[in-house]
Amino acid sequence: MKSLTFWDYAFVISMAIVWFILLYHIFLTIFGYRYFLKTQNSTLDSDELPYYPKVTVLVPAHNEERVIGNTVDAIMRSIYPKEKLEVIVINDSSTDRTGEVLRERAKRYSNLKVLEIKPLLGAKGKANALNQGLKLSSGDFIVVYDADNTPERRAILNLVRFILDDPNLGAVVGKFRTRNKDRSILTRFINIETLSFQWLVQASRNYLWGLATIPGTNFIIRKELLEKIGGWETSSLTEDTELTIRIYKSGYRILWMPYAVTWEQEPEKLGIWFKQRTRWARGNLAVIFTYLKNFFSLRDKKIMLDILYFAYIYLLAFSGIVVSDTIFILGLLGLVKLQIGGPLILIWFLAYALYITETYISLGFERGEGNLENFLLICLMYFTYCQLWLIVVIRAIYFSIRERITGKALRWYKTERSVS
Amino acid sequence: MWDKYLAIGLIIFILTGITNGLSHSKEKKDVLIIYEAKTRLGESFSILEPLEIYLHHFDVSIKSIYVEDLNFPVSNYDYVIYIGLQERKLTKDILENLSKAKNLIWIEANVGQYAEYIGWSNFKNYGYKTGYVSIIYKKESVSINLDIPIYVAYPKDRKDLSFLYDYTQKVPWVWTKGNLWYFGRLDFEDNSFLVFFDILHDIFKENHTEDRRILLLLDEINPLTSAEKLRELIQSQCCEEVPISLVIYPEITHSRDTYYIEDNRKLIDVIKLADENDGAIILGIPPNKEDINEKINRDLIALARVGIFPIAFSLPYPNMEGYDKASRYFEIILYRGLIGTKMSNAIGYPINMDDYNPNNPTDYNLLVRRAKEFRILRDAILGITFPSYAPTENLRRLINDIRALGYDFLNLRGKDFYVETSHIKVMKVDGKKVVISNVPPLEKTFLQRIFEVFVNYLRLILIIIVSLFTIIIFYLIKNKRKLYEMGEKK
Repeated sequence: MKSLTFWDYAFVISMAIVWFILLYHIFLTIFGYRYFLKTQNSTLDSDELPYYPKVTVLVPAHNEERVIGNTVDAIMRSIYPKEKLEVIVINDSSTDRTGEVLRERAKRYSNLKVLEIKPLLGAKGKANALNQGLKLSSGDFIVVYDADNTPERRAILNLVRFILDDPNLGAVVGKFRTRNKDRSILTRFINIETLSFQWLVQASRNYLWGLATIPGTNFIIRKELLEKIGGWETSSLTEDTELTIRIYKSGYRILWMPYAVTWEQEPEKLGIWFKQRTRWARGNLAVIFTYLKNFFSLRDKKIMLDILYFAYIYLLAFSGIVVSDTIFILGLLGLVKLQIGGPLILIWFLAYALYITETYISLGFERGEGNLENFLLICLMYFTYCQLWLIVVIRAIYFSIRERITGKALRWYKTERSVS
Repeated sequence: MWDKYLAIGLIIFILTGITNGLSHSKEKKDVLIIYEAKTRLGESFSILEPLEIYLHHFDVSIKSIYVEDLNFPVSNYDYVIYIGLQERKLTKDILENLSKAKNLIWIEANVGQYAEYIGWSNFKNYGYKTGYVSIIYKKESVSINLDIPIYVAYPKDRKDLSFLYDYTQKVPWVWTKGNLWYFGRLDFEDNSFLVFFDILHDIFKENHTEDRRILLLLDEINPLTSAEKLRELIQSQCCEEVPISLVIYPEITHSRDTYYIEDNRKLIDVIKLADENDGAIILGIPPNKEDINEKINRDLIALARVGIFPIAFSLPYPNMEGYDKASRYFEIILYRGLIGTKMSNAIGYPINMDDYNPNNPTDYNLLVRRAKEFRILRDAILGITFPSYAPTENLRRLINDIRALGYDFLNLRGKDFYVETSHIKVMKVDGKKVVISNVPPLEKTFLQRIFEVFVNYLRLILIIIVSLFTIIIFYLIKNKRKLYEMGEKK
């Protein structure tokens, strides 16, 4: 007589864990779509603002000779009064021609300041560079761009427009797009990933709970607030996530909106992608653990939910996927036979269809992205790119545990640029 | 006056009849088998062992002894069967002893020595002969292989019971004289045994009524069987008014995976429906090394948990040890034998036809021919297994062909059955199947129930959501103009 085995229980638990988050994502998709409709209905009347506050754009740069020139040029083309726009590029101990390129640009743009940080003070990561730039800044608002970004002309204007509009907003986050999406299948996958993350996770959380996460680039923040909360946390690998939580802790909200667009360069090689994503995952895990420890010190219940959401994703959902994948493989090898039954194959196909439709909807909001090629890529992504994330998270957990044991400090990894 | 005599006569007749009937049913005939060898020289098939089994077709008690070990008078036995499989010199003591037998049944060789000893004149002893093509018995003819050696020997004054035929002449091979019955061959691999057992009815004076029946078994019903297919077969049998007998294997292993009957709910429903409509449910087990006691108990519990209670057991091999073990639980056992038996308080129904193979028409023709030959035996029971995966039209054809041979179909539910284990009792009371069971019905665990509900709802939700999302996608495609622009060129 058969009876339930360890594998049955493991399977049921992993299914429950995974499906809880997948069902939550169905809601996110629906509300992401609602947010899309809402933003479609609200039009930005003009390029005029009631007044133009002084804005400082901070661009940290470490060995960015290939991209920094274009980034500065793009920022300088912004539709925003030049006298109200201060651009500070922090040349963080670059050993390449970054300084040279910046000096050349400084001659061309009067509102460009180049802050040189030398070793000992510099090369300590993005947060440190931004904090140095913050000290030099004179604007009421701080806008941050990564060195590989190409913001659209109205990006800064719209960031300012929205933050002026609501005094409760501590920061406003814009949309980022993949500039080099046609370079490889990896960048095509990343393009799909970034769009679906923004429309399904950022937009819907924004619509539902008024929550958004700062992605590290293309956002504006009140300088006063930033100074009050102590600037960027230099010990964090994902200073943006960490900053997000501190903004919520201080009682402000963050808005994600699609009108401020920047185009950024994504990793074109798998090795670079692995390093970058592992850093993100490690950083996010560190933030999750930090705030889980002080969970009840968080004032904002919504951000508590968000912390739980990310903890769930990184710790439970990924474990659930690993367990169910393991059971699936052992089942194929004939080593495990589940006694628990049901239309599991149909459920799997429906889950696959759900993933495809959810992701395709998020692409469908952007002109030119809802095409057959992307549809096929999404179908393929499920078995390839998505599975790579499992390895990333496992690596990140491994490094985090090793770090705890050995006591070695976190090291900030700068993403290598492939093209100019 | 005549009335009184008639009444007294009637009473005496009835009482005598009852007394005879009682003594007949109570006292088993003692049969002694004396054998020179268990097998024929150069052959591996045993003659002795199947004979010991099949003699239980009759109400007898059996003792077997090697000829050289015979050291007691055979006159104590009602019947003596002498198996002369080797030509050998019999001692005077043995011949003297045999001459005292009440009834002597001699098989094959050395009968000439006996004839000489008791002084029969004109006894012809031709020895082993071949080249016969058929056996003629009671106006019926059954084929035999030309190469089969048959011992030919007979006295002049005898009563012939069966002949051999070689295209030119008839040669007596079964005859009787006085208290001797002679059989020129006994083998269970050819048709000689059919004649042997039919004549044994007369020798043992057991007048089993002429009743030729066939037990048609729908076999190989296991967790992987299609419920729809089985329903189709059953319906086909019902249309032909053939009793249903299902051999169920509750647990099977296929490609290293084990499957359980409880997982095939539809199949369970079909089996239960057959049971409710007087179908006979038979427990089958695959031939493996597992202990039969353990397997029977486990499978009976597995079936009881889903509300199925077999009334008989199908033994997968002709193994008497297994038969004895199974008879502890079942009164009806189907076994891989040639004729019906009654041993160890169980009635054994033979599965004596080759398994029906839907893929081989030659096998089918042989099967029908064999069924035809079995008609020689006055109370022949044929057991045919029809695999549940075979085409339904083949089943109809089989039924019609067998019926055309004059067989009636056997309904096991019409027989007395009794099944008992420590948890289950199944019996026939007033013609009805009565089940006493303390096996709790199969109930899914809380986790299984919850999971199934979850999965079912999930399926529904997902179908709705995916449909909704597809509509959204179509809406987005249709309203391309409203989408976000690619943005200002970089």
